[in-house]
Amino acid sequence: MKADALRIPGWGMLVQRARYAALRLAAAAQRLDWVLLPVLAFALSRGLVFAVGLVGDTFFETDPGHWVAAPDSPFLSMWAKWDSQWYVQIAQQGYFIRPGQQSNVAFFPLYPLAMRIVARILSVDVVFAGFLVSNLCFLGGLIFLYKLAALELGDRAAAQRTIFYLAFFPTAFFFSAVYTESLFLLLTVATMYFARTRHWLLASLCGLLASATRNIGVMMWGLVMWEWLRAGGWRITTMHRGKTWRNLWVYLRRRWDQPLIIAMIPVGLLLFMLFLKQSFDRPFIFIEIQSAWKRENIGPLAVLMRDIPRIFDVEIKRWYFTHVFNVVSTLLALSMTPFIWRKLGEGYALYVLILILVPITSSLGSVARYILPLFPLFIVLGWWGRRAAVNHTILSTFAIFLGLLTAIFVNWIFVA
Amino acid sequence: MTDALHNRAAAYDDLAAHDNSNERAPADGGAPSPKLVRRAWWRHPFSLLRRMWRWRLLRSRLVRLLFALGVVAIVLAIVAFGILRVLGARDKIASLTLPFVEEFTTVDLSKWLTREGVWVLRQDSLAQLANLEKPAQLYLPGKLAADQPYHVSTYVIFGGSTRAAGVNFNAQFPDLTKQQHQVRIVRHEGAAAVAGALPPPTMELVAGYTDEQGVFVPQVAVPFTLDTVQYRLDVYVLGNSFTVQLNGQTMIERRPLFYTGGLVGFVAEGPARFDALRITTAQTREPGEQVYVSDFEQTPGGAGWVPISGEWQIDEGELVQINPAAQDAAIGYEGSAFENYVVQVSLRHLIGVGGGVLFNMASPYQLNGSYIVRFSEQTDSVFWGFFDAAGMFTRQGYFDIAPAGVDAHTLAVYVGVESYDVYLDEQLLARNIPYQGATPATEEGRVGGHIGLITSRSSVAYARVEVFPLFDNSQMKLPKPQQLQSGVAASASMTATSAITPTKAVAPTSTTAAPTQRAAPAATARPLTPTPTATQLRATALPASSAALTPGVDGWQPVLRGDLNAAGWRPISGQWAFSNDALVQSDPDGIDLAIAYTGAAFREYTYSVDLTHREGNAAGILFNMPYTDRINGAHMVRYSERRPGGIFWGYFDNGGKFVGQGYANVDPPADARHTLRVVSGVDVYSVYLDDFLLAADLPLQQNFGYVGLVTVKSTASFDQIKVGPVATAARPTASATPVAAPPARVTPSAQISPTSSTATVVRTFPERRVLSGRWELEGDLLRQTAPDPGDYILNTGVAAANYRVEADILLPTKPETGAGFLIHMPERGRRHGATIVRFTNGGDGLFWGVFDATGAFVGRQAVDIANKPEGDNLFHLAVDVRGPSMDIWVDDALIAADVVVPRGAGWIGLVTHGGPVTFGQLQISLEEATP
Repeated sequence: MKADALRIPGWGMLVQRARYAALRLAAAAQRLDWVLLPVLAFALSRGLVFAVGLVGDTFFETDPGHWVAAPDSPFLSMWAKWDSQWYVQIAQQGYFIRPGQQSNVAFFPLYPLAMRIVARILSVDVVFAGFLVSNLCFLGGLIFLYKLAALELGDRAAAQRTIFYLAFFPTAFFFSAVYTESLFLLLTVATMYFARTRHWLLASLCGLLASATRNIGVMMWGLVMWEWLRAGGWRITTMHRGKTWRNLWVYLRRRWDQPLIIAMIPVGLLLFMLFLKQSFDRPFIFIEIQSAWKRENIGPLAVLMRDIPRIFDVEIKRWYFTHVFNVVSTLLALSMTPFIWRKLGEGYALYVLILILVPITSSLGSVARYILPLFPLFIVLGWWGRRAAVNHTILSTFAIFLGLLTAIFVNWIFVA
Repeated sequence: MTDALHNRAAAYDDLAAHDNSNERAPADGGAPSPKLVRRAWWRHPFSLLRRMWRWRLLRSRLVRLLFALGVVAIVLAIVAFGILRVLGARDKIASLTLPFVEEFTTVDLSKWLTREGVWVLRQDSLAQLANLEKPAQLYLPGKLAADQPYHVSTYVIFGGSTRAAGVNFNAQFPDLTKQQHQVRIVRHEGAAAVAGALPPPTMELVAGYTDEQGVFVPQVAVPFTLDTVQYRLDVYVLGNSFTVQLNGQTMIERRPLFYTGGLVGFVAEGPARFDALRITTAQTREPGEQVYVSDFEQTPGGAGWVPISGEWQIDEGELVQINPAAQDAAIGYEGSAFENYVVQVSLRHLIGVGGGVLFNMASPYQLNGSYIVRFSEQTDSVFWGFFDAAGMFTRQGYFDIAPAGVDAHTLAVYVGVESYDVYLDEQLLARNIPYQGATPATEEGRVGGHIGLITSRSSVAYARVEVFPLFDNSQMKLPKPQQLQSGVAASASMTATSAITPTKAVAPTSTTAAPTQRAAPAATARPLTPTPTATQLRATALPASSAALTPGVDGWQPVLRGDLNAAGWRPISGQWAFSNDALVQSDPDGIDLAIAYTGAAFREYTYSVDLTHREGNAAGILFNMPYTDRINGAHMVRYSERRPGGIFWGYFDNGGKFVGQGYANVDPPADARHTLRVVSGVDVYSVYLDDFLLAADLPLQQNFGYVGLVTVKSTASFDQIKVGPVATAARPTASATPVAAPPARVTPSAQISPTSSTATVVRTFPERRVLSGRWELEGDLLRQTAPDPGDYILNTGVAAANYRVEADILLPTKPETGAGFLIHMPERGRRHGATIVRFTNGGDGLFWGVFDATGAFVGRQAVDIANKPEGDNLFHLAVDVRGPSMDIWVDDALIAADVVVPRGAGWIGLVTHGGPVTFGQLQISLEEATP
């Protein structure tokens, strides 16, 4: 049969060409996997989130009296809840302060600024603009995360698992909501990616924008500087050696401009403080106003000792389940820190540790959301998912809880 | 699929292998060496830059640093522009809603803007404690618009070391102290007087502004020698100028404004106190219940003025008594009584001389028991005195003046607690004239009274009547008036008046021509009639087609939908229509817009209507209407459009003129739902508001007729219109004091444990009444959905002395919301006198306190509730009430025990602050007495 096929010149060439085209296509797809796989993860996860959101919003009743972000679009209104009101308010009305009361000066400007600009360019509502910005930034964040994970782990399969774990994490619906999670994820991952690829200017720019997105974004300066030190041969394990410091000094002399560029990262925060000074004469009001949310800073240890035992006070109520989730998220992040240290280095581990410890100085509330930008955690998870059983377990568990929490979130029930 | 691609593409993709080696940073941390490999441009967009990197100049570190900084600067500039221009604060401070009243009892000063000083609440006033060199300033966290005319009123109380104290206004945020206007009372250290010269002034009223550098620039300084410690300061900001009054006197007038709009605050140099801050729109000039401005220039004008005698009419914007022959022709203002006030009238004589003012009238319908200041029609003088209860006049003094002529004059009386002062054209004629004779009280234990106008043997036109609050002048250290002697005029001490006018020495004059005792004219002798006596009924025959019904047990309640006329309603005037099962009047401007029900006339009945104002505040009911096409002859009970918080009643005579029979001061109706009810008997009727008796046994002019509704300059919605028999609606004529006896199902008892099996548990509340807010019932959930900050109350319809009230309360996650219970409400329709227990700040705390007789909250104690997990806003609140004490439980934890409750029994209510709030599993366990 094969000889017969070959004897027919048209048919054989056709098959051969088809095979060649398929292989070329496959090769092209493989070359573009850094786009295609994130797009796939984005599409599948958002498909689940949007579908569950629609079902949850349609079939479950929401308590009346809540803010409706987009009266003309129930779909958009699903993704604007709780803190979204503040961002929409900033984008629409600008900043204001009410002494002693909750005020929108507690929220950083880059995300609402992006909402406003996109809304102006596209002539759309700021809520839709926020939804668009969030989703596009999430896609961009997945792309950068894929490349970073592939860079760190040297394994594209692990990188693929990383982005899928993040996209299907139980609180990943926040990446599509009018929240800063997506933008912050994009900027922090991009910062680290550029730092790892020694593009310090780009890293600095992304870090600067990250510090203008959330208050903890200024931590990127530490992470990038750590990477720069590593680039100069400095290691925490060898810091006791004089040679390490001599090499570092040589490195610094040759590349003295790079730390200065990296030092621009906190300028995003400083810019916001300058704005607060100019507008309200109070540059630290974004810290002072936190007291209006009644959060008492008692330290991470005290918070853990207070809130972890509460999971044993089993009550079939809303607060209990969200509390359990927050506790689990906190313990997950803290317990994975040593593994992050071992696999990715101390810089990433310290980054995760700081970004978890800072918010839990007052409460474990919302940790399930704060954990989202901790990309080193997901990179290590992606590495752990090498075994199929582990991979399937993680992915399916995440997907199930993602659906549940999405259905809860769209009905104005506080998740995080 | 990915693995398969890895395998298959390996043979074709050299570039992938190169990518792997290039993307991964070397382990030793060294910079990757660039490789000039032909690549697809989209994979390596920086390849061009890499080629350019070969140029040595570009490899210079300094150049690269400058380039990087330039890029960063560009990005920063874009972001900064966006933040400053796009997200820049438009309304840095929220706008202030007028009127604004702050009594400094429970305000949270941490929310105010402090600029120096230590500001606290002391003795229900605002106190500045620090004795600083520089001024201490505090600002209200709300701004006024630039085009908003407003009136700021406050009381300033000096301490021993106070150097200056006053008011800031139009302060520009955020600079505040550097760009603002300021009015302050300054106390100077006493300086030795130069021989022969007047003693130097010790007090000065200074107005000015602070420039951009914070330097105070005075605009005007007015010295005065009023030696007191308490002042009332009024600042009127109108257009581009401001006016300042001190103790009711205009001291600074129409000074230019350099800053418009902004914040209002206080300033003090040294310790000082401030009280009763009121900011209102300048047009109304009504910071409280005691200020009045006449409406003679409006059409129609003269609302609230009731002629007692003479012929009064509104003519070209003036109230004119046109009969020059009438002796003691008087007119009273029935809208409100006043205490501690200044009454000022502008008048001009048209014919003869004899105009004047009445004050502290016991009743606006008679002269008996009133005080009078007026021009004498016989001599060129102004005299003052009073009519006693029998109508006999007693003169207390007089003052010779220049002939009054036809010029306009301003006659003012400063009516204090124990004495009064008389001013003519801002000249003090007499001070500290004591009250004598008749008690000028309209209610027992209350000082003050009504105001009125009077003329005698003259025709006088009154252009304006104004009433200003007068701060307690009994503490003013003023010289005692000379003992009045016959023929001796009181000396006029001018030292305490405005320095605008020079002092004037008055020489005693012979008074032989002036009678020492003015005989009371016959016209003033009237029998004492505190209330109109019952007159003989003059029933007006109704049209033959109507028969007066006496409602049976079921009564009558119309269905308020469909066609108005077909349903039996006949609009007399206004725009009436059915809407959502209610009858709505939608014309906001008309006077006495009425509608009558023509289906039946009634006799001996109870007529009740639930009304809700939409605009304005003057809706009411008509009853015993003889006609269906006019209001002549009808009785009326309605809210007053002139005095928010006033209800009055009376009847229209056959000519359509309203004759008042009484009034009461109640809470302003706002947009809350209220029930007006009258019980029309054989010859008397009673008036109820929200089941609270306002007046009883009022004489009827007409004891049967149609029923109707009326509005004045208001739009309102009326529903639950009912006519029922008199017997079932009779309620005990309870006073405003505690409920005399709880309903039968509650037996006053000794203390019983909450778990007593003898408790009667109430879970449904068919008798509940909504006092305010939007309440919905879904199954066993009661939900209040009005979101705005404010107290919303529902009365459960259950009254008891010993009980346990508990509910699951779900609060929204808003910082200022709260909910709880009202305990022992004395009145079903008001919170006055009730004890409140409620959560605050979205459940972060719990407080309890009482509402006093005026409805003001007096806090007792507050506690913090233990932090619950974020998102959990469900609480179980329970209150065990045992007569005059209660225990409070939150989530089954005892929060407070044996809390004293001022009353022993009363109604039980629910209260929320803001919303939406849901009450679930609400139940009241009524305790039985244990043997």
